[in-house]
Amino acid sequence: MEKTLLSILLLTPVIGFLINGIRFRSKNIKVAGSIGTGAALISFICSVALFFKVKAAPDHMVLVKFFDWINIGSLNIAAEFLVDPISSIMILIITGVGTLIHLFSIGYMDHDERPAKYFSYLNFFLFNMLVLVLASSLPLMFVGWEGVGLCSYLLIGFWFTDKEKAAAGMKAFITNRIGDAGFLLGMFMLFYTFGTLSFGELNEMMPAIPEIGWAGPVTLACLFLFIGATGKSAQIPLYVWLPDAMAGPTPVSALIHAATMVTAGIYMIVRMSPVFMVAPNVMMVIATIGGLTAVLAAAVGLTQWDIKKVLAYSTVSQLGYMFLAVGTGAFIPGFFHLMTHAFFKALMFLGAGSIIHAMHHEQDMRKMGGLKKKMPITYWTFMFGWLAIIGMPPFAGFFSKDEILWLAWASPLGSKWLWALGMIGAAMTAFYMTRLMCLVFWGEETRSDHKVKESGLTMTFPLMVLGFLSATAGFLGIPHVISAVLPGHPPNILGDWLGHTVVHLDIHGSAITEWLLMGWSVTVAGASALLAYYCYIKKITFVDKFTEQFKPLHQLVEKKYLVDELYQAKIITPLIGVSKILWSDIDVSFVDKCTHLLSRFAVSCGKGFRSFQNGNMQTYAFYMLLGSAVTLFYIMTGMGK
Amino acid sequence: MNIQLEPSSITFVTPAIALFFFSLVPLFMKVFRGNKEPSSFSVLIYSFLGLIVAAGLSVIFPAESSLVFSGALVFDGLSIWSNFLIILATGFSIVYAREHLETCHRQFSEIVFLMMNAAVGMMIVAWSNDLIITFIGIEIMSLCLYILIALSDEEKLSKEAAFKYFVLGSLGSAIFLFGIAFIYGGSGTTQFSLLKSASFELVSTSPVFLSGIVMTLLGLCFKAGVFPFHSWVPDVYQGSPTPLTTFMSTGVKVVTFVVFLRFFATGFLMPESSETLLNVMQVLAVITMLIGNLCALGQKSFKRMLAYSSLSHTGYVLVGIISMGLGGGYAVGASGVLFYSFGYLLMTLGTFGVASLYESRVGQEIYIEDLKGLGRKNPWVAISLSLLLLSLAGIPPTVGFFGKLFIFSAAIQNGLIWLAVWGVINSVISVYYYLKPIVHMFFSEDECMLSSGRSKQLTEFSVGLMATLVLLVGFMSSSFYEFVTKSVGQLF
Repeated sequence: MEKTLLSILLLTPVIGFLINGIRFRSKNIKVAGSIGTGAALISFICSVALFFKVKAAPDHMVLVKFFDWINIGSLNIAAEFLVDPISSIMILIITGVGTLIHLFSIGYMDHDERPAKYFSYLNFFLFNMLVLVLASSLPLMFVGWEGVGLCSYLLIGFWFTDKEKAAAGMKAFITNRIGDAGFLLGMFMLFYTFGTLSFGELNEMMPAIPEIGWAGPVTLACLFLFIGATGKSAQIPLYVWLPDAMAGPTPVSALIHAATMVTAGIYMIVRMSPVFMVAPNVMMVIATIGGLTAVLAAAVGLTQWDIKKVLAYSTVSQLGYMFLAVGTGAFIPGFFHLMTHAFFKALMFLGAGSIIHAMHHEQDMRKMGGLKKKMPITYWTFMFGWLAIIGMPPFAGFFSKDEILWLAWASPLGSKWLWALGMIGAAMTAFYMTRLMCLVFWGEETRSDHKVKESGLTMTFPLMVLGFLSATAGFLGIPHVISAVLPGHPPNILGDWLGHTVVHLDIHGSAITEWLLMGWSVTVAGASALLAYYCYIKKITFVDKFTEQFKPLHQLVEKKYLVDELYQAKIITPLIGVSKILWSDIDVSFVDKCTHLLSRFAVSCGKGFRSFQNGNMQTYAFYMLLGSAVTLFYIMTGMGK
Repeated sequence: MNIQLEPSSITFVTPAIALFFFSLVPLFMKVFRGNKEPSSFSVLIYSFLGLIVAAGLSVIFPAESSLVFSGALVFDGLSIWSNFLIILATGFSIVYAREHLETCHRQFSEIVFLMMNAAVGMMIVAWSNDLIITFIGIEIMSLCLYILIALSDEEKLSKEAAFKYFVLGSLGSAIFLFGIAFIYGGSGTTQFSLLKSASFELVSTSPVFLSGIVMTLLGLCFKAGVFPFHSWVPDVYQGSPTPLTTFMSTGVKVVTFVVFLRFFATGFLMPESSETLLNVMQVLAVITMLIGNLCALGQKSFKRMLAYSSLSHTGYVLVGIISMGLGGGYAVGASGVLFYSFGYLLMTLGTFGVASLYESRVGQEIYIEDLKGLGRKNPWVAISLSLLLLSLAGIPPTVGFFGKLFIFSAAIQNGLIWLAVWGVINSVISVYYYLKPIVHMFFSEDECMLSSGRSKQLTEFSVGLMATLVLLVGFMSSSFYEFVTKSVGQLF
């Protein structure tokens, strides 16, 4: 039964991919979209069924083995899939949000030339993402890991006739390859040390005592795996591809670059939490990188005018939060934030998509404004997303973000510095998101020539569902201090569920501190949002003055810290230089010449042999007889030796 | 020698009988209609009925390995497998012949009759346990083929090819027959199963017997196109109508491999008994591969390139056959060769199918250059051809790769490491000319001038089917190989 469900779950997207892939020239978006969305929906239904199966299973685990994949010496890798509390939530998010985004795409891509191709890629992405999260071993996860990378590349460059968009796809792919190299090295390291790559065995084999220093095998392996995670999940120093990835269609940004694929790094760390716990130094690195990314990306978000760029930097920043969480040992809150973020960020991206669609592909927020009345559904759902991300109680983001901040403060692996980073990030988040709301929805209408109107139901329905989830998903993970004062003491559903498999730290902090911190963070966020409101609606000149005062700093941030330029100058250009030398001096003038010599030799040999082939039958007969005579003579004289 | 004919023996040979009777049907139809050619479609249907019945009978009857007709024929796993391969080769060749310009016209029913009887000859060769019966089978098969090639509508090249094939074939047969006589003189028997006990001893003591073995081998080398008897292959393959080239390079080759297997299974090739013989066989295998591959390199004609490539594949199979003769586990070596033969059959049927597909004039020659731009004109055929060529080059995960893998690993297991190394070197050389058509098809801006001329849906379908099978069998190679090994069992 589980096997059947899992097969359907995995295979329907593949079938959708194949059908749409074969008829990729078709321009009928209704058919293509129905096939794609239908496949995603069937997968979602299977996910729900599997979730209940896992819930009913005694050890909350379903392990399904399909076949032996690689069997070489001591390396045994099976095509085996693991549905446990973590992956069951992940597949629900992937297929659930995935279905909504497929549906949304039917509306969004209605003028596109190649909808069948688009939906086939989207389905293939779903399949790879499912393989990634369901894999029971690192190599199988790597299959999905690479697969989603491929789909991401294909979809970012979907409008590849635009050179810039094709380049963005390339950038994403290459940056990810750097991370993948780290992932592979980590995998080799683990196999070398422990002789296995299956998650279950690895998690069990971990030594009880954490490693000290930097040279331990687990520490190195975790460090390499984390490099892989920074590539896929867009963290410093490999985050540069994600803002450019906004070149893809907006629903793709929502699905791949906000809700699912980019969280793969966090998922991997949560999945291997016992392993990472053995390497406290790496945990520190993760938390620090996460905190820094959260702040620096949020700062860039303050200065951008392109609505998708703001959301992209916001995603980078929120992913930073998740890494901050897992780095401080708060695996469950990190995962919780992954889930809530999937809802509200997908919502906001789709909302942005709805706006961009209505504005005829205008993405500059300065040219929007006053859309509140024209697009009421988009506005109200977006509002929920906004409240969730700035952490207003009782919206989803409040619970997950406060849990992260609290653990950054109180966890034995955390520190006040990390908490401070998180706080600054939260304040900035509230500011730039409110700025977005002001510019897009609340401000005056800047253009009236467009007949902007609300999108159709295929686009607004997903928005409403996601809006509902953004408002309510937080109740799945009510923190202990809050539930203690609520009537009936509602349990932390998600925490209890994940606690079956994920490492769980005991925190000994006082409830009063927690309440105080919670109040403080809500106040800061609220104040920051209010400031933004006054700056952009009431037109107080604070922002202008501020930027005037710190002009160099502002420009540095607005230019995204010149990281792209830095990489270009310090890494890419020298690399290309070296490659050119290798190409012209080594390859062309040496290797090629050698091979050409060889091939010329082979061809001339062939010519020599063919000259025997003169078409004359008598000659052929002569060859035959000569050959037989020589052979016979040679063998008979050699007889008995 | 007392001759007894138990009626149960008849059941074993029913596939050949069925083929023969069904081959008569179109011929009789033509006679009764006053020498008017029946519709080619009905001829096709009758021949397919015959093939299907023959396949069915091969499945039903032989339950276990046995010698029948006083040890003249043997029925073991290898015989049954050969039946299927022969039926496959014949069936698809007939399909190509029906849609090919040079074979489909006024004499199609005769052509089908001859092809099916050639298949009967092939079956006899594959079943035979006696060198004399093998000889008879080979002659039935070859005589049909000589006439078949000459029957082509093309006036010049095919007649020349038929004549060359006939004269040189007779020479080969003479050597073969001469060898049989020597073997009988040396050992007093021509049956494989009886030779098995005697040959090991005799090879090192009796010069008459050894020269008999060598000459028989050389005669077989002619049929398979092994150096120095390869010179007829390119000319005849090129001159014959493509469907018949397909038939020759699949059916004839495969049964020759089977005879090689049976002959080598008599165990004369032990290193202790005759090292020079082993050395000579190895050298022949390597030179055959090299000649095939090197000559194919600069080849401009697509069909001639494939002809040379089939030479090199004979060389690879010879590696497997030698390692089987050398090793004790006959069944393992045999199943490797059989697996390769099956893969080779699929690839050859597919690639020659493409050549047959695009020959739209009598005597038209397809050049590799002509394939330029086919990727845009007919992407499905182009993709199929690419898959088939990649498989011929031995690129994973196609069946060609696994076939080579099994054969070369068998060689290494038997200590023939250098032979395996030569095999791999040759595969590398071959990649060049196999990839060239692919490059032309997909990376050229030129407009493709090829056209199939008339409707050739069945041919096109067959090409696609072969490409699919090449991939599918490749994916399931290990389980399929196990299946082959199990069903072949011990050679009788």
